Amino acid sequence: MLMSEHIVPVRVYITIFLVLLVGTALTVMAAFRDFSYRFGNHEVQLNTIIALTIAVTKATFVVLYSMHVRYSSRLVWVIVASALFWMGILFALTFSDYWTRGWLPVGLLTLCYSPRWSVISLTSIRFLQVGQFRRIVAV
Amino acid sequence: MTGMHAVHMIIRRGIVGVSFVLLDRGRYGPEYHSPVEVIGLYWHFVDIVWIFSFPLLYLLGRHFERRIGRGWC
Repeated sequence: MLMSEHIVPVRVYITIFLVLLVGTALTVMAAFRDFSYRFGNHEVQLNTIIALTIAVTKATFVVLYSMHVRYSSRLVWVIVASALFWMGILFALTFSDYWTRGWLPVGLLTLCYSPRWSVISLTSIRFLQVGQFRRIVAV
Repeated sequence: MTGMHAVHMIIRRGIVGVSFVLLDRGRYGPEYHSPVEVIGLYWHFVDIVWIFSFPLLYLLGRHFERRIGRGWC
């Protein structure tokens, strides 16, 4: 059959449920703090990393115990691993675009319309309105 | 995204409700229970999605809102 015939005691499920509740409480508590640190000129924001670490831990508990993967055959483990690998590919493809948006060379039209004259990437041109475009050309 | 999740929630409530009715009618037993396993897998799949979307959509926003509107694009 799909799963092995391992009988999991109810106590395990209650424990996992309590672990998930504690994880949720930790996530909420961590979200109400500011974990941003300064190292010289760099400001590091750890809130996202902390929240996602707790979330990955909780998801691991759900997959291992609630989805019975821990008691399943090696084949199920291989399927889970391949699914995670495929998800990693999708993340890599997405972030190869998302992280490198600001790396593009700066042209004349990419001067930003903000009051501070900061610089935007070429990909942001499409967000400029026509009036802003004319203003930049006039400048 | 929350709407998508709500659709999944409605689906999983539906199939779990149907499975409860079938369980009450004695459809499942020690010999035949794989629908229950599969429905449980779907339940926990939606569960995992919520584990990630709850902090990302509802909790972390307050740390990013001070970055928006600073004047750079």
